[in-house]
Amino acid sequence: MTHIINVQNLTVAYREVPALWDVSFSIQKGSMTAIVGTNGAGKSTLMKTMLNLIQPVRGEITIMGESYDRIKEKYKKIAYVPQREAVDWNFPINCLDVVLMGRYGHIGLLKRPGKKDRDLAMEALKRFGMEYYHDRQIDELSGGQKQRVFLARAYVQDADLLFLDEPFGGVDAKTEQMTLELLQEEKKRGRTILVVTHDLHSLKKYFDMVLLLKTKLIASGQPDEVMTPENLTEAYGGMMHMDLRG
Amino acid sequence: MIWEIFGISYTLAIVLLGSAIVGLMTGVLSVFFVLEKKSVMGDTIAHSSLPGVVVAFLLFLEKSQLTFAIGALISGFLAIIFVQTISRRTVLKEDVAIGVTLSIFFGVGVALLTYVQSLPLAAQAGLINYIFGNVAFLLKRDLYLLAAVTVFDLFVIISFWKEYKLIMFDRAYAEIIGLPVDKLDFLLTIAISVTIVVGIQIIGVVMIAGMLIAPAVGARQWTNSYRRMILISASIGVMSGVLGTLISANITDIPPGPAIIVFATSIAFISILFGYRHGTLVNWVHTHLTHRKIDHRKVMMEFLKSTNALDKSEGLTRLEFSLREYPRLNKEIINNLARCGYCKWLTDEKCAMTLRGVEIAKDFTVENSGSAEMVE
Repeated sequence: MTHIINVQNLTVAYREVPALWDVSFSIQKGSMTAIVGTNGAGKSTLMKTMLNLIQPVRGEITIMGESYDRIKEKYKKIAYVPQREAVDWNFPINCLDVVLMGRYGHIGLLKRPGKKDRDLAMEALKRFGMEYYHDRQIDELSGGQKQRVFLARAYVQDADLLFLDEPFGGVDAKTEQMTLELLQEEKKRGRTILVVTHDLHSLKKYFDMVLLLKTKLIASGQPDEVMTPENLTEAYGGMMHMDLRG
Repeated sequence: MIWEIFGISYTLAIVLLGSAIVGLMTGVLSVFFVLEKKSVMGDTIAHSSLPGVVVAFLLFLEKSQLTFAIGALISGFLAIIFVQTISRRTVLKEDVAIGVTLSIFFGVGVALLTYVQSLPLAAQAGLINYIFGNVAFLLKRDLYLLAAVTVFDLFVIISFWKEYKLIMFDRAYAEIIGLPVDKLDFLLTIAISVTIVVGIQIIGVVMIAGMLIAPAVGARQWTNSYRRMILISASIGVMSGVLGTLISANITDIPPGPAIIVFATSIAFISILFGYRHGTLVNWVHTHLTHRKIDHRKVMMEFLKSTNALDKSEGLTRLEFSLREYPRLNKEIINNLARCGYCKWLTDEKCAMTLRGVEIAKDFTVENSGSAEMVE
């Protein structure tokens, strides 16, 4: 078993308030992992720290055996679908151009996207059923459609690891399921996928591993092992009554 | 010479060229300020360059564009460091930090300038022009400096075209895929600072800040494309530069800075009203038309639904509807549809759908089921 990501004793704090406390886990290559927990449990913080967007107070993260700074050709290794708030939706840009951004790493500095890149981007839009909207300004789309454009961008980037930060926020059940199916396909191609999500119902069907957070890592492992009533009560408080057997 | 064709003097030709270049540079760079939502940063650099200019003058007691530029650059950078330190080290937000920094630096600048004006020196004359700008002193060699800065700006923007686009649109992603975001940021800050510093001579420290916003705001109303936005913004900049200078040259007592800014903001204002993409008026007309289009579609689809329910052997064109049976069909809508040839009036109260109308309505139905999400 190969561990593609290793997180050791990770502690992250915003000023004096700890957002993550002594979190350790490993992620296997070719697996699909869900990061779950309440709002403010540190889910996005964990993902952003893994992506080097936030500097930890303590602890060590290695991706493919390297610390983030030392990873060569990052664009070939790590793709990312941002949380919705992180993007400037008013930006003068159309869907095809957004997807083309997934090719920027491959194209390299000082060069322009060529016909091949455009074709790949268009193909990716087709795959996610968005080719009809290729020349729409990005904010003219619905939430689910925006999501698909960003998935197409990650797809066209063709990276080994795929990070998705709350991809199902404000997205209907149909789009969510379609996205999960597409992620399954990517997993079958050997990609490793991490998803920050609030949807506990989909865990068992689609995910190999769950990280249950509440600042500390309450539990990690297969969905069955993690989503026990005791763990859920600890993570979500007494309010959580869920039938996860389905 | 070429300027003689237009009946203008050599001096005016130089001045016009200078202000056109400044308009071009500020026009292009304003796009970055507006899209990065950092318009106030330009304001800070511009206002804060004033004490640098005056101190440079006090140190060397001569009017040299180069020493002024260096002075302006240094105090502009100091101001930025000041802003960053305040917003990182204290609980104050960036906008507060900018407000504080801007007023302190500009205040010190004005105070120093007032002091210098009181000195019995001949060379101090004209220093006040740095506030509102003056093109009258523009010389041919100044044009070379302006041209060099333009080339540098355009080189930076064109070389890293796609990188800047990505950084402004989705910064986190740019960092994650390994773009040198900090270095590119720094390069752009240099380009902007240098531009402001050479630009203040012509349009002044107060007005250049406006030139770093207005052209892009105007341009954004006309397009949803990044490339076109930059081209339109550059055109607005050049146009304002030239027109403002012409006004200032022909009417005494109007300095070029304010004249240029008046043109740029007027164009921006007109664009906000009439802009093709986001203009207020266009939006209003568009909403109105969309509502009407939806009304038409609804009526057509209602026609079609009834068509399916009725006996088809009668022939589609023979299907009749009376306004009384279908209260949603109102006369105006039917009139419009009849004008398009989708249906016709049989009597005052009755209408029938044409074969063409049926085809169109079928298309609507298919389209609508496919793009239900689009409408939401």
